[in-house]
Amino acid sequence: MNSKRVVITGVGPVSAIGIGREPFFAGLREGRSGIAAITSFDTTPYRSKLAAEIAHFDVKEYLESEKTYLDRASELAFAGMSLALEDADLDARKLDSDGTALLLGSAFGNLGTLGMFFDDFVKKGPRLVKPILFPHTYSNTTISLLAIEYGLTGYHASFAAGTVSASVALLEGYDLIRQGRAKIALAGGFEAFSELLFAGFLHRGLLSPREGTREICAPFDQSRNGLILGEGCGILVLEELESAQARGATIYGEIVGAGMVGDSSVGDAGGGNWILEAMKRALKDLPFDEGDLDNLSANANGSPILDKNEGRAIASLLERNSVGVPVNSVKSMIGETLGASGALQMIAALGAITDGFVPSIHNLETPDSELDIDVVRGTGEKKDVHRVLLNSIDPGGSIVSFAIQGLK
Amino acid sequence: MRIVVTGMGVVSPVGSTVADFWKSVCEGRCGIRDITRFSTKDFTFTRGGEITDFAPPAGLGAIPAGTDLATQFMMAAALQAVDEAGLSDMEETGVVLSTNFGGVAEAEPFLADALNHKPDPGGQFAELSFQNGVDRVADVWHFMGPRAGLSLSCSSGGAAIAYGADLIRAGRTQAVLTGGYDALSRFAWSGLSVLRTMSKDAVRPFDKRRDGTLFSEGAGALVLEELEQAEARGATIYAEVVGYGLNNNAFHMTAPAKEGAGSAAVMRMALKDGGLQPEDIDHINAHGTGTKPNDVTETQAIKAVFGEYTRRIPITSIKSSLGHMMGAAGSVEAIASILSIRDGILPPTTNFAEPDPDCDLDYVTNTKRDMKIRTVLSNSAGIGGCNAAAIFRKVEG
Repeated sequence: MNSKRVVITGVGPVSAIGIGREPFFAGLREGRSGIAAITSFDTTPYRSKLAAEIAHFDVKEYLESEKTYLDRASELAFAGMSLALEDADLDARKLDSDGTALLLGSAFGNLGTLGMFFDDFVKKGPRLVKPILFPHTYSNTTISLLAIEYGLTGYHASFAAGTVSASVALLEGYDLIRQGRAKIALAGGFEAFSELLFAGFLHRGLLSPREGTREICAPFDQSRNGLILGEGCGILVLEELESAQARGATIYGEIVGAGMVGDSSVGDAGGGNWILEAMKRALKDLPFDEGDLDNLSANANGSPILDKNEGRAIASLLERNSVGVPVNSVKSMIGETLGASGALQMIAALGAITDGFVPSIHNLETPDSELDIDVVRGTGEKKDVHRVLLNSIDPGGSIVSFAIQGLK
Repeated sequence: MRIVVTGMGVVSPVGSTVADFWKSVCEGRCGIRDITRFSTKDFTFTRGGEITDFAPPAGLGAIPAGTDLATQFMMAAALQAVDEAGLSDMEETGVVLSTNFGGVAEAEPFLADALNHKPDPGGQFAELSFQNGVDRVADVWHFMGPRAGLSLSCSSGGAAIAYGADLIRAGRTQAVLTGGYDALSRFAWSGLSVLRTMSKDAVRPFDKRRDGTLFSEGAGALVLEELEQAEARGATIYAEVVGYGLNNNAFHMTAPAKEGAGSAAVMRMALKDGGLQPEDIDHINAHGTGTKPNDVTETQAIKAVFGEYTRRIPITSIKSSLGHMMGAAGSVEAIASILSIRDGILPPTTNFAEPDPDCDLDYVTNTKRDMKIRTVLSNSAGIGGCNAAAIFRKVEG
């Protein structure tokens, strides 16, 4: 079943530390933090004040044709898609539509517009609502608009799978190409930051800070006290190796394994045992073992329990190794971008492979003493990075792991 | 690898077991009534397929507080399918569900408060995440397989079947619980009303007098399983999922593509995926929403794909009985397609009186038709131009 090899030939990152491949890679190398005081709404009523918003973003730079309305989530996705296609040197309109899949995910989709429409409805009643807004509230609106923009009529799926949304889309693209069912998959995820999203996460007690603590995103730190939201988009061009080589594409790396499982105990103290299972499955078919990993890109976002469960699983996976595998988390730089996070993590891992550099975990002062893992601190770690294992975990229990490597 | 259906479940306005649903659909019973769930005072359209007699079955145990009615429909349909398939002990079962609106009704108080910047909003924010519904269903059995939510508007149910089957084909799991669900809510209704696709009284697919669709609620669940495993454990095998397709018109957000190009392409994709020819299809369970543009373009698409064979393929739309179950439509129509294979009965397209010269196929009008069939295509389409088609075939044995 593993007959075709799947490589990555284009990346379109849109994040608070950089938009587009080189600016994003530079942001990672320089250890930029995208987390800052929220500017898109007044935070006076709220306990939390920080997020990784994308400033200075104008979607017009990325549109092929003028649009009357776009939700911010769609704007970020249009940018990601335009950047990914450009980076892969592909003209979407010249692609074989039968062989090109479009697979995207988002946890909350066009939530901002859903809220605007609902507000309009509550204030004015059903007969006076703005009709243009409603079609932009659907979760699949963004992918449909992209299909229209680029004439993508092939295999098509829109995932709404929480924090693993982008990872699920990437996994589906990987599987379709592996099986010879697609030559190219444009896959990834997106998430927009909004007051509604922020209020919801705050209300659920997921955001930093907790009572009496400092607001900070500190994955794997003893003092971690919740996550800080971000926004962004990551779209990757996945391509069958031979056809990528035939067109002389730049190849950033190869997906060599994946695992996808469910475990609703990931958010419970002492739970999440199947995080280890997902990682093992990602490594299962490989001619190397966990000892040959050069980097582990963690899901960790500063959540007290989820980070602990993931850290324990990582320690358990790597316990037999004599040489430490550096563990990092880009969420300390770009915030928790939910539906975009799996794709941004994968692009960041390709940056580590390209640049020979693993960025540090920001705000890591006192690593959690119960976790026996080699966390990356200080200014990061310069090293040859060839193989990376990535984790993507939704607090509700969906877990996806990928093994990727550079193409030697 | 062959994938089969080994369990099914339905919660619908015309019956909340597979048997009741099927009997009603075959009799052409109509589930459309005046909506009571929320006040329709300010709405132009006031009728829909509301489920008025739903109670969560005891087998689900305690329903977590704040679980939206839509999610409860899905949990109830899933329980039927999992029980029937005898799947409850299969730890690595995957869960793939799709919806248009998920649990938005339970989230309405949150939206109202949060939009007014209240620091401690009420309601259920979590219900705005469609993955939450997937987790709730998986948690009933502590399933540890892959799980994911999808949302592809009114092709959602078909998309869940396709992605669920993809997970099995890719070797990610051996069984997947797939399904689609949605509920009538004030939010959904306020939006659906502005689309101007609704009829004031009834759904009349393919009839010249058709003037729109009517939305309804419920859930459909199907257990997909790898054939050899299903046989090895002696499961009831309803039908094989022989091929499917998902695509997009890439044309317009709300208008159908010219001559149903995208719909034709997705049916061709499903045929190709299954290694089938047009003449292999015995029956089409159509999307047939009862809107002017859908029914004519779907008819054109069918003709484009099936050519000379079109005349001998009976076509039906059960939306005349059920209404349009939104995210659940593709799932319950797949279930009806499979039951047509099992029983040799094609359910009727009711409310049909006046033929439309632009819809000139062999529709099963007003009363059911007895006909032994082997292979059925279930067709769906949705806002945004997304399409899904799935083909089911009898497993000889």
